[in-house]
Amino acid sequence: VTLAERLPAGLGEICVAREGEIIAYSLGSCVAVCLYDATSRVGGMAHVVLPDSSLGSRRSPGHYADCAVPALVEALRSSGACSARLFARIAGGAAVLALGGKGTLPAIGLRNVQAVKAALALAHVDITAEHTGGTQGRTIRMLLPGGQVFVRTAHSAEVEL
Amino acid sequence: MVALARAAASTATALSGMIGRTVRANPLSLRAVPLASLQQIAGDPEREVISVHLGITGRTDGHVLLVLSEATARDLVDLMMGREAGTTTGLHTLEVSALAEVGNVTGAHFLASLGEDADVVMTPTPPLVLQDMFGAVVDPLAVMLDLAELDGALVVDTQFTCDEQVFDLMFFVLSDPKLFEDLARGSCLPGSNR
Repeated sequence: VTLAERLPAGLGEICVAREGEIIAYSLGSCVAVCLYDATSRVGGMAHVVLPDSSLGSRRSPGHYADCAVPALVEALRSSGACSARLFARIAGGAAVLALGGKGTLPAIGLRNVQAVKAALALAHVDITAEHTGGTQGRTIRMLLPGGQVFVRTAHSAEVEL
Repeated sequence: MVALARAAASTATALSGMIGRTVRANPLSLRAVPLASLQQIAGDPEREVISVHLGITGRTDGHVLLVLSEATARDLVDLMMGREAGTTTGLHTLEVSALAEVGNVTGAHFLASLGEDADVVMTPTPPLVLQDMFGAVVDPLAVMLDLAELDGALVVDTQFTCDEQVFDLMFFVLSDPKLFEDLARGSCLPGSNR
């Protein structure tokens, strides 16, 4: 995949493509939601930051799990996907490993995963694979048109979901 | 910008005191970075790093991250503990504690000096040492900034030199707009001569 074919999904962004690669780098507590329609061969990714839109008033729906999932489904439908054929793979929601010290970081990863699952259930989209929780960050990439999803963590080889 | 340089120099002095060597701060860079790009501020977001996080409390909220490679972290521990270069091969409880102290002292000096110039009280929280991809370390901080509905962060970074060794020790100050305003009033931002 060349740089030109690589579509980075930044914080709170939703990306849809038919070719190339969609990538979310080094997710900590955020969750990447990857949806794919194998018949129309179109896929998309949402980089979810927070579980619930009641936590803020961002105009971008991709920030919140409850808004990001329906927005991603709609974006895929607009690109030719059939919502009944979509299936999901999700990754992220870690609590980044602390080696020491006395500080704390918010444990929002688990809430993000739970909210994404609830939103997918509401949208009637099945989850076929997940790589969530734990204490390490993850990079997630989706290859198109094939729809393969790969996950890499620090110190580990990339695995396919 | 002069005030930021003064804060970096103060930090270098504190670091010198800790390791018993002469440490100098190289020129600073200061950037405003959109939230969506925060994970790229140190270059490759997948680069594996050691970082020390300190929250900023006071009249404004924010975060300071000290980021270094594991090799630089080991070099720093050798210097801090008076060991011969190359002695430290892993980061265990003692080494992590030493790095937390580096973060504590350098971050506190940076914030105290900057706060004094800008007339802003900035108190650091206890340090937290993290090891992961850089983007994953920044991610929870970006989440907190997102919760505060901020669109971006002020990013300050610099390098420190000790004798012939360059420490890729980067400071990332991530804060809400109120701190930007307070620093501007204190004439710390580019364009000022203070």
